[in-house]
Amino acid sequence: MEVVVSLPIVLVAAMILLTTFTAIYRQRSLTRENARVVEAMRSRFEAMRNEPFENIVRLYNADPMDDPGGPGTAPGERFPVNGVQPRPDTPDGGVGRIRLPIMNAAEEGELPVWELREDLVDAQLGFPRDIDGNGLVDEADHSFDYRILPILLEAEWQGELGPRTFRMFTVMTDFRL
Amino acid sequence: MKRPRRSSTAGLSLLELLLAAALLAILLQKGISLMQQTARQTNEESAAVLLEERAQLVLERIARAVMGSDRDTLIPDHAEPLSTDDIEYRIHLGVQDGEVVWSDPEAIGLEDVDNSVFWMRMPEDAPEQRVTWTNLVRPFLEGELPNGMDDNGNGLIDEKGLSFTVDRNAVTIRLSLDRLTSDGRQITSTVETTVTCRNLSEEDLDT
Amino acid sequence: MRSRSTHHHQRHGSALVFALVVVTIVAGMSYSLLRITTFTTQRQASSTDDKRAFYVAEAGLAEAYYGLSRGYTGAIGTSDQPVLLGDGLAWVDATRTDDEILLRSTGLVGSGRATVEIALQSIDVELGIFADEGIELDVPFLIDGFDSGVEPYDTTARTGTIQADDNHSVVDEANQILFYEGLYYRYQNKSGDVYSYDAFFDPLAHPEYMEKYGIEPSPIYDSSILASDSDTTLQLGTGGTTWTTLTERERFKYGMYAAQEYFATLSLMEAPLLASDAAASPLGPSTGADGVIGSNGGISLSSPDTPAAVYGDILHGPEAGFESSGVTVSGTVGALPEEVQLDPVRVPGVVMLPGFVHDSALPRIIPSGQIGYESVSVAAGSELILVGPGAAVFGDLRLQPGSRLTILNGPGPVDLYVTGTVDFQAGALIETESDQAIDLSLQVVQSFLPVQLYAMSRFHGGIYAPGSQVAVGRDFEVFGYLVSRTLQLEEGVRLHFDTSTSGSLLLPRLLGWKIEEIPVQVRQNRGDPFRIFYTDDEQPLEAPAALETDCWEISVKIWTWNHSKNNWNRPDEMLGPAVNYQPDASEWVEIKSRNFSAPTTGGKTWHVRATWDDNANVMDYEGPFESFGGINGGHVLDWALWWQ
Repeated sequence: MEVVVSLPIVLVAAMILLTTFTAIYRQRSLTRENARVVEAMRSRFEAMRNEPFENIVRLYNADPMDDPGGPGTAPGERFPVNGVQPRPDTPDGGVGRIRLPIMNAAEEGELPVWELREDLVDAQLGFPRDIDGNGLVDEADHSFDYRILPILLEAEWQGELGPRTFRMFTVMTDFRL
Repeated sequence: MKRPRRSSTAGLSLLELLLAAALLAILLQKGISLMQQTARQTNEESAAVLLEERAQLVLERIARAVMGSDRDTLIPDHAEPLSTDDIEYRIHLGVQDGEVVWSDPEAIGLEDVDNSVFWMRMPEDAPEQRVTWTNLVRPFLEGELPNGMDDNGNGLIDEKGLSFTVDRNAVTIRLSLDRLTSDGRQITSTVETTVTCRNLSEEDLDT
Repeated sequence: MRSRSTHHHQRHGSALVFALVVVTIVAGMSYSLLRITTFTTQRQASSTDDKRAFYVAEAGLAEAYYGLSRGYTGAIGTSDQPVLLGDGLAWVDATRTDDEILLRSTGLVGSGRATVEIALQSIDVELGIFADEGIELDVPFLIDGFDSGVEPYDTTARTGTIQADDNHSVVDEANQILFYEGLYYRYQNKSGDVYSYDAFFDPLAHPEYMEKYGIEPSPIYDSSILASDSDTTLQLGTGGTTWTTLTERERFKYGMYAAQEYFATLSLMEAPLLASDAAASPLGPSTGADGVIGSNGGISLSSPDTPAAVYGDILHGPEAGFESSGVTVSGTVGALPEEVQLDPVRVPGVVMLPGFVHDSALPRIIPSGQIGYESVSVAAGSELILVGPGAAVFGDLRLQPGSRLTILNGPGPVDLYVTGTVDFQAGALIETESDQAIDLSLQVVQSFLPVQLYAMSRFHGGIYAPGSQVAVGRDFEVFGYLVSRTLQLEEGVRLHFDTSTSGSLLLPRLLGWKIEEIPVQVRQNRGDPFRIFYTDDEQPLEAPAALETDCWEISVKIWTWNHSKNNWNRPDEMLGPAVNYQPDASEWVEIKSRNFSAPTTGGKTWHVRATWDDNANVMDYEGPFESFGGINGGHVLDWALWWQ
């Protein structure tokens, strides 16, 4: 009788151990995913730093027509992360996205006109704010005369436990050498 | 006549005992096997995580050294598909009496003899200092063979387990560590990052 | 024989014991595995957060450098109240030495912490009136300086009269003895205000003052000035009892005598202050100081017939020299420590609209914002109005004689960019609404044709044409700065360097970057930074707003009897405990604030304590700086500034 009672207890204990192992495995997968995403984001920040400051916006926005090296030559706003799967609902299948203070200034129904705007409302980027050094927030396009650039990197992917997101933020400026 | 009441202390028949024992043995065997397999996987997983953690740690140390270095002093200067397994540099220490103070020359590289990553400081007037950061480095990067071809598709040819490539002011650092688990299986961890030298001169802007 | 029941009883519960043992073992294994994994996971999470914190710390450096470029201190937040940056918090400490600025930024995100530091070379060179390839002028001109943040030029510029006698007694027109011994200056500015300084001494009797203030023998007196001054009565006293009213001839004589005997030991700086009026002096009123003329090349100034003056300093190129003939230089002459690298003009990328010739009687208004025109010409009788804030890019910009350009930069600064020809012809008129030079700039991309500035204007702004020859006409008066490749001045040009624009052209230069050790108290506490520094009801400031909050500028003018030093102090020594200054008995201290509203830092405010003698009473004040009107003149006996 005791054996009959004890066996399920032992089995339950084994199941608990098994569950613990599974949870541990999943936790490690999460942290591995995080590490890969963070490393990809760091590399992306550093790649941006490797470019002339005045070209960063045109290289990493979504507009291929303003690429400094010619249309379509720039890396653009999307970037992959090795070992991490994009979400199935991501439009272009990318995991990482570079978010700049850019807005579409075109009228409805027209082709998009992307402008770097101080009057953009984006709390995560810290906007609206001045970025051309005159102390004022205006409605002009500052794609060519910005002096400081907040940048937010976002990653969305399909993780072991479901959809996940991650963000990294920095601000770049052009130090005088 | 009353039927004699079966005693509560009546025992099991031999058949019942053998059956129970067999069932118990099967269950125990399955359970133990499962636990062993899980334990083995967990050990491997732990080893892999620890190895990756070690790789990340070494990578981070190298990355910080490169970020603080003077681009002008960074040698050698190999762009893809060439790579190098060591770098020499100086890092910025501060400003004193209006002059920028740079460190003694330092180096980070792969020691082929024992597959270790070393850091070295080479002061002019003192003995050099050397520290081994890890001795688990693969001779060649994961997936790469010394055959003059880019086997692992990363754009490099015959890159070592620790490799550096330079693109203008950015340095890409690749590191592969491997080790054997307790049951003889090999686990590998490969990490990669790109960082830029933050100490530049005006000439570096044009490179 | 043991009974079966007893034996069976002995076996009861053994399986449960076995199960309990197994469960205990399993629980122990699970716990230890979870502990190991949790520890590893926490370490990796911390490593991830450390990287995020690193980039937030770098964001702090970028914000701080941006603040420096806008004239702030570079400090952002404090270690008690860091500011919001992205997902984390950060603060930046700014430390200034004579030559360097250190910015140290600490970022906190989740459990991550990072500290990075940059060393910057502070650019002390004030460009003022600057010509890259050398300056060679042989016409009369006037260069001086002022600070529009303190007061407008017109109230700073002075004419002056001097009264002296050879018996060390001085009185004014009312026969009131102003002081008994020595020499003094009496200044009258254009508004008619009379300033008397009774800080005086007889340099011959007090050689220690000559050494202390660096007075060198040099003639300063212009006999024509005294001769034209009909409002001054010079009285002589002998021992304070006998007074003689001099005739004009005698005044001239004694004035010359005084000049030769007493003023011969005074510095040149005071000479221009003695000009009686603009008509009498071709140089006109001036501030007598703070001008800067510089070049990467040599500087040669001559004006043999009519006086020319640089009331300020001369900075020639490191490999070149300075020559002058007939030119008054009140300040120092020295070489630049190194050649100044002039940044090229960066023209905003605007869509260029077709140019136009404006010849209508109705004004044409270019509204605020960014706009560009290929070529613009304003004809006689027409007016072009530029409304700020904004930037206007022109291919060419021409003002015909009789035309008018009005720049309404009161609402905000206006930047004019010209990629081709700048031709402001004589007879055209340019008016600027703001009298702050930082509110207007004319920036010219390198042009083979000279930039012609012959219009009539009191141009409150900066002219930056590093690759162009700039020609300035007599009627074009600049209150700001002028940077050119070469400079050509018409006779009688007046250029006034607005020192409030110092630093606006040249940003500090990056010397080095390094990862610093994280402060101990930050390293040890790895909790959520928002919970550490702020309660649920508090919100941290965002970085751009924080730039203005912690920046404070104190103007401390220290006047000696013949020198004035003007220091706008915003270094870290002002941020913190009490700063005490015990002025020398011969020094006056003027304390004012500039530009920024009374700052608050975590609820703290600036306080001041001052004791001064206004020649009638000994005054004292202690309290918030906001309520303090400043000290303007008088002997400051003691002052201290602190925040609490």
